[in-house]
Amino acid sequence: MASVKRKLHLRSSVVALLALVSLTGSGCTIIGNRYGEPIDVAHAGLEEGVTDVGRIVERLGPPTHLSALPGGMVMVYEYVDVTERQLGINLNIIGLDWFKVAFGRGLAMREALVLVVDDAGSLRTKEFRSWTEDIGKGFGFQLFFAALPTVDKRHLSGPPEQFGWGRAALDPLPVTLNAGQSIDSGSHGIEMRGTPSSLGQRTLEMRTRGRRKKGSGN
Amino acid sequence: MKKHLLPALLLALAIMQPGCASFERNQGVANAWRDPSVAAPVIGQTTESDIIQALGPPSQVIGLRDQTVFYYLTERREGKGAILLLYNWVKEDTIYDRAIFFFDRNGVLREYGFSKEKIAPTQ
Repeated sequence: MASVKRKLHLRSSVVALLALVSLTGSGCTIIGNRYGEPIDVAHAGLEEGVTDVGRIVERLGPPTHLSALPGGMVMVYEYVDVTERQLGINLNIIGLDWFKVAFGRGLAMREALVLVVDDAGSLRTKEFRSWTEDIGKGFGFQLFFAALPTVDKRHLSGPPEQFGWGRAALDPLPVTLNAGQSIDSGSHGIEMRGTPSSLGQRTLEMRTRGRRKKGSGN
Repeated sequence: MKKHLLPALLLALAIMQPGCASFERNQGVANAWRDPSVAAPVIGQTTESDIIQALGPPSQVIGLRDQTVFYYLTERREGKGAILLLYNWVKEDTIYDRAIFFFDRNGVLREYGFSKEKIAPTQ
């Protein structure tokens, strides 16, 4: 008898939960953006003073960023995997049948390998790091059937500088006037994805948020 | 039978309203270095001119102290997603197909490499 009662109680609870979720919940949303592939540094066999640039590009392929340095060059390999998890709550309980509020949190799994090669083409310095970065939280008011991001992750999703190279003459004046020192030229150093624009050569370009949106995404 | 109807209906309401999407975008130069009909570069023999004739203008040219680098890049963004009531997901993968060529002062190939990530040739 007690077992039957328990079953009935369980069934009513499940029905109530399903009803509640159907009426109020928009469930969860997962938005992922992946850039490139994980860096296979373990099988690259990199040895300082031994490995040369030919072996590096043969084993790892072309780097994400490359720049001349005094006495050599620097190569950076990058991998970024961004995931935003959202919890949505349907607003039909207050009469807004087509809308929900969404709370999101973004995490980025990142890998970076920095290699400095001397003028003779020999590996001078190497460093590999892998880490998870909290990229922020967000809150949004959305149509209930939409899956839109609430966390701003544009700083990690900009196009590669190789695509902006031939377009440089059309940039805003402060950017063009400082093209000689540009970090995107491959001759004045490099920067990783997500680096704030209030740093180094970028400060000369006086980029505003609006310009960044239209520009290289940095 | 009737007792299962309501839970089944609610469950259907919860999960049977799917929408799905798929998209794809290419950007950059045509990745002719993946084309089997293009001759493989030979270190010490292939010149800048050979590479440009075979692959077209590079995405970026970089001047090092005594070397020139041709950097070719093709990007493909592939996305898909499902919009359900209880669970939505959207996933976008950006794949980079790259080729890099290092030339000496005389424009002769010193080193080259292709990325492990590949995209089927776009031409």
